[in-house]
Amino acid sequence: MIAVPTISELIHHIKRCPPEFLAPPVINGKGEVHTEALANDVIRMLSADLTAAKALTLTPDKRSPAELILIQICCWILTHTFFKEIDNRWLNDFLRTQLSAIAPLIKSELWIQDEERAEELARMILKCSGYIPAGETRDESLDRFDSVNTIKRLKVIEESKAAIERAKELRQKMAEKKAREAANVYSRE
Amino acid sequence: MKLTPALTDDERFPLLSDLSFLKELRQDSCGPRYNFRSGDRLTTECLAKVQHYNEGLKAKAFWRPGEIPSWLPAWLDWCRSTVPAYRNYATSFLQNHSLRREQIARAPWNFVSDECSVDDLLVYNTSGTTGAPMDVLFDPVSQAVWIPQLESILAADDIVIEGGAGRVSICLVCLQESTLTYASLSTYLRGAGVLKINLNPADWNDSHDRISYLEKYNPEILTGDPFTFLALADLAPAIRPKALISSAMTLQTGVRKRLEAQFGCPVYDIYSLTECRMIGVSKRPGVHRLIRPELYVEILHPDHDKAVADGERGEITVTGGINPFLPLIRYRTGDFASLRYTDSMIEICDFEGREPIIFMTVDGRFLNNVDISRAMMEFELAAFTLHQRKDRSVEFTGWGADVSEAEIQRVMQNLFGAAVSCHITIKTDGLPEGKKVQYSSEFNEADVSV
Repeated sequence: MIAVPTISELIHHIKRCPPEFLAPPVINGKGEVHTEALANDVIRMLSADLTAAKALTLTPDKRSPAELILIQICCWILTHTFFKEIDNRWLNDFLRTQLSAIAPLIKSELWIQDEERAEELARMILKCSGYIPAGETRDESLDRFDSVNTIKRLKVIEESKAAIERAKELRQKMAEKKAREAANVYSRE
Repeated sequence: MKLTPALTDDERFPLLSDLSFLKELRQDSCGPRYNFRSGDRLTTECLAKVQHYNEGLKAKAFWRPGEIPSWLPAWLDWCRSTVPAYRNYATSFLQNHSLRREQIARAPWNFVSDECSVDDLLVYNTSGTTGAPMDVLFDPVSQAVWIPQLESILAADDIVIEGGAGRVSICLVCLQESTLTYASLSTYLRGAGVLKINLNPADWNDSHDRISYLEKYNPEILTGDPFTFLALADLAPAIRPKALISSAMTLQTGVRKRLEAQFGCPVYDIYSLTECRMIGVSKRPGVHRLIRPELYVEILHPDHDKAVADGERGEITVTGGINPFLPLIRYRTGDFASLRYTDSMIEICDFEGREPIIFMTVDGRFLNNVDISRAMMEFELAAFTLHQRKDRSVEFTGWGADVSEAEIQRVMQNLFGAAVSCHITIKTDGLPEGKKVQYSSEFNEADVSV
């Protein structure tokens, strides 16, 4: 039986992330952490095959520092014992493709310092692994993920901004004489 | 009138190159003093949509009892994805709550589809014969489809609108203190004339011109309300319309018979709302045949959003329409009736919508309640009732905080005459249920004359 952690347990784990995982990644030869090497070490550790060949290519030079630091933070999260117990075939794709959109939206250290961002990251990583946090139903977990989901939140803000602009534009147009000179009326209503 | 023309004739009629007939109608020596200009504003694309709508009216079938129309689920999806007010609506039609006039009046822009271009926006302010004033948003297409809707009604009796330049096809006749009047054309009817005239003698150089002008252009179709038609019957112009289209208030049998006899044509009573235009047509009292397969009609319980049992009376509620600036989902009309399905049609029965109300000025002239509604627009009244007694005195009750009895007295004197006896009450609580504007009178149609 696999013991899935509760969200608060995973948040607690994230908050204990050592500062080294937030060190500048090496890009074009400059920086401190070789993100790709770190990620491959974690994959080897999880598969319990420390001499396995490199499984993940990240081409760090083509990624943003924010994304590489978030990958590094995820490497820390993956040290939780839960991830040793599960099938980790989801992991390569997660690290390669799932973090690029969200990383630039949040200051890196907030993933660890801010309770809500830590929760978002915990929920995102559990969801991608295919598990539901302990003590929650599937619907509850999806609901709560929605409530902390940065991309969704920004989309809502973006949409409401657009809606406000649209309403403003329509109200302006409603006041114009041209709109008030309505087309032919053919009968009384 | 506050409005002044803002367009050129070329903008009013983008597809009509010859406007000489329009000029003739405007400049005729016996014509009224038109106070406004209007056009149908149909572009090639708009005209194609109107024609497409016309085809759809002929081809589409009505829904069956207990079913919702086949077009409705996709239409609801479209509303949910493109109309701000409907974003959170359920995918299942019957789970959605009903909508009232006040909700639209508060923020009409929220009901505009994202797909609409603001350049197509038109605004019609309804003075509120049956409710509070509101801005109704629409576009040239949803306005022009009135004509194919009318054609479909007339086609059932083999009546055809000929149209074409040089002929007046439609004349909207009013009898009011003041209203916008204009001569215009219809692109859909191939350049035929469309008139909106006021029988009030003050609008004409000579009161006999009202007869001469109508006789000269002999409109194919006259539209108006029952009282205006009675006033027109008194004037007795020698015209041969193909049909009279009565709307805005219930057409009584006696009035219909008199008009049919005098003008030698059928008189149709149209049930329509500014918010969605035509809903049904009646050729006998209390029964309106539905004419639009793309406007779904339900009869809802007045207090909750469930349909009443088959054949029971309830509030007429409409969904659909062709106006992307105001698509309606379960819109309560404020009118009550029952629905009856026959083999070939759907009918609104036991209709009690707009009983005709006659008001008389102290010097005995007919006063149209639209004039009263318009005059009341200057006040922020949540509701009002107006009753007139046989001695021509009036009783007014208004609900509102920022209005005085003296102000209402002034307006009543303007409308009914300085000598009018008024009993005015202003309340701030105990708002009446139902219609926000209620008129009643002890006069009847026998008292009407111009």
